[in-house]
Amino acid sequence: MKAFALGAALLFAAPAGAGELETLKAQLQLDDDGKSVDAAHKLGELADPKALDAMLDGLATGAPPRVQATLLGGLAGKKDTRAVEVLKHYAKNRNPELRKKAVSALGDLPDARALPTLVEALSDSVEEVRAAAAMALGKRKERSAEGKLIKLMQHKDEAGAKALALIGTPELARKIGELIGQVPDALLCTALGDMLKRADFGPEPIRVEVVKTLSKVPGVDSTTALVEYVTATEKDKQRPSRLEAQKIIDQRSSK
Amino acid sequence: MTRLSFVMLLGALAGCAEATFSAHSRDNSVEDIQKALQASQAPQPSGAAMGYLVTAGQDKQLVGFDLRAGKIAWQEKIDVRSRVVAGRGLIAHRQGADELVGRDPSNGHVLFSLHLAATDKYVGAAIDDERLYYVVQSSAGSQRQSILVGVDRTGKELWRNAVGGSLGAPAARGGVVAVPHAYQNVTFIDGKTGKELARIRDTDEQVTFVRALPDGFFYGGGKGVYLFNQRSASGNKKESSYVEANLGSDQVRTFYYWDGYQLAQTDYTAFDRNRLLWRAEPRDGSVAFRDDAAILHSYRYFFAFDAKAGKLRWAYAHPRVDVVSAELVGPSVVFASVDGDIGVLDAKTGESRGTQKTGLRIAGATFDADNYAGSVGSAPAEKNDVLKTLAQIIWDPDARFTAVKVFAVDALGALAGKDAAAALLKIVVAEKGVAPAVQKKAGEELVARKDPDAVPLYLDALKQRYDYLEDRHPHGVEILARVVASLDAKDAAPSLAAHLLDAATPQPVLKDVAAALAGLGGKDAIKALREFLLTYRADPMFLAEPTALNIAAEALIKLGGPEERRTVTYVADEKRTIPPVGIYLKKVLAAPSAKK
Repeated sequence: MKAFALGAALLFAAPAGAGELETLKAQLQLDDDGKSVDAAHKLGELADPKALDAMLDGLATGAPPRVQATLLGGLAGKKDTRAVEVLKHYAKNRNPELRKKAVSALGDLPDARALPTLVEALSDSVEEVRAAAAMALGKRKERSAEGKLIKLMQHKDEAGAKALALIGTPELARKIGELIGQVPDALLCTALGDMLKRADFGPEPIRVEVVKTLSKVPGVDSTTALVEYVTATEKDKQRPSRLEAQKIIDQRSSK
Repeated sequence: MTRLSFVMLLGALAGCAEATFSAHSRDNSVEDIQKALQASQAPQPSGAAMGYLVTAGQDKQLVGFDLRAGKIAWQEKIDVRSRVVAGRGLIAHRQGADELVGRDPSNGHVLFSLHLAATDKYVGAAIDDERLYYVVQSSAGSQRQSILVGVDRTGKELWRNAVGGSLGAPAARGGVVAVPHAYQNVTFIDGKTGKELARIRDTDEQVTFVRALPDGFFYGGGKGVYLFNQRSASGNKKESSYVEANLGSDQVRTFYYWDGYQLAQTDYTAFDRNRLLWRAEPRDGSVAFRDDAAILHSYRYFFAFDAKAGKLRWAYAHPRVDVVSAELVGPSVVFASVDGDIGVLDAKTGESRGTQKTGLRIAGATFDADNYAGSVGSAPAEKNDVLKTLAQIIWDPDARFTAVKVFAVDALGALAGKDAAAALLKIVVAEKGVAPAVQKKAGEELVARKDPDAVPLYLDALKQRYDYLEDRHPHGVEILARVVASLDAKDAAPSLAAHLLDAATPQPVLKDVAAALAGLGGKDAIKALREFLLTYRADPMFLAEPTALNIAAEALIKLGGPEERRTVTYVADEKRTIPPVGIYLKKVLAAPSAKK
């Protein structure tokens, strides 16, 4: 790992004219943000594995934030686990935009080393960074983060609800159901409503249970979640959970 | 008769010949002072143990409270408009707009009433064993005058002396009345005749008060206390018997006694709630505070100091409400609180000797209880603990007391031991509940004390990190950084490294954290400093305040090997490094000390 030590390659720069990669590497270090950003962008698109090295070197030795942001964006696309350490470092950068990009890129990496940083980022001071971490953990269906994601929801962060919906196990659905009154109705309905819309959520009796839980939440948020569920299951009209949802909607609209 | 004694006699006769308060009277004369000292005999102890309470609100009352009996002895509905003055067998106060009333302290009955002209403003009064003396400012004539009047115990006027300048509130002792005069003088007058005996002219500071105690007359201004004796003839602090209280802090203003010239201070005011309580005595040819003690009374708090060493002896916090008046009567501090508690503290230890509730709303009180060492009412079960009391004062939610709290932190800093360090640390890391000035002072004290026993506490505190989900917001990291650096606590490096690279660490804090890591050294420190420098060297966020980056780079040169030096050289030379860092590092690298 060459993070935050000067690599020999960087100190003794390659001669000019050594191909596109070398040109971009040199350009990356120009005292012209526009050209450096352009080079960073192009390095992100290069399939050459050495492009990743150049990008990591660029991040490890410091650059203006615009260039760093472009490099981090490029790393996200590469999904290469060699970037883990650098991304972990940038997940704690003072610039929230860079943290957000680093966290998102880490979330895409199939590497367990990313997990502690992602969980830690749920406690970030900036909402967008927390949201990026929550979505990353949700997409990874990271059950070990459930507790913190519930806390995030309790702190009124919508990202917590959305991430929990992505994880969405039957036990989690029950756990969220028990939080009626403890978290904002809108977030609770988002979590349960989004779970219902997921094709892989189930089995059916659990869906019915979730629908019934939603019926206990008064107001427009739960009705909206139920209506969206009914709309999303248009093709399966006889599904018991859908019928239950429809029944509740009808009862509410008749009042 | 020798020639010299003849001249002295002439001089003495010349001094005596002038009218009282005459501008031509001589001052700072040893002979005159001796005469005044001889005339002013120490009074016999009266054995009184009374408090005279003036209630607040519209229907004012004057209440005699017997400390020994622990109960109200008498109460009268009276429009009291001044501080009550007390002496043997007589108390007096201004009543309504135009009366000065003398009362029997045993039952409150009126002994006499003196009419104050509408043009007269009451300045103050004093009582000795024989007479009452009072001062008024009169605007009756074309020029404003101050008048000192002596009356006997029946209220009969014995004499009066007027002067064109200002007179302050008088003090009386053993047949001599002393009065501040024209801000610079204290004039001593025979109480029987009204003739001037001696005059002191102080050339160092304004004299705003004179106070009579069994041990003598004391006078002074805002900075200290003089004992009236032969050395007073020098007219300066250095050669007089003079003492200042050392409170070990400059956080609070010391108020030695009521300003005798200020009409507002003739009544009970906030000055009664914020003053220094002291007794003084002649010692070793000079003067000293009795038991070397000075007690600062501030609202509901008392801080007793060794006034010589400036070291806190004890602190006392009265529960909930302000103490409106307090007096050091020798072995005890007696006080009255706004909600009617009358209390006694042991002056040596600060232990409560009890409080008695009266149920009154009290505006102010005067105590005549010299040498009272008894108790009153019921004593609390708990012992007075200095550390606990100071903590209680500091964490008092009442926001009025910032200066007192800063003072309490100062006092806390002077206490030795891990518990005191822990108490300071608690203030430094508090997220809320303490004023910034209090927190700042606690930080200064913590850095200054260099307590190695407390290092584990500091290390624990440094582990605290920002956490949105847990609602944790570390405070005082910069202080802790300075503290562990001053103690060379190398175990703190990993936590400091984490703070340096933590996005939640406020930017102004970074320089202290970087400096601490630079001081501590070690692998963790070097790694964190390098990462920090490389990550932010080109970040405009540091343009305005690049100190932390510069400290990091210098530390790398100092602590690291060739590789770290190469890193710093790269940062200095690289075009995108922000100019304040690049330029600074080039200078550092060019310096002879950096060329190893």
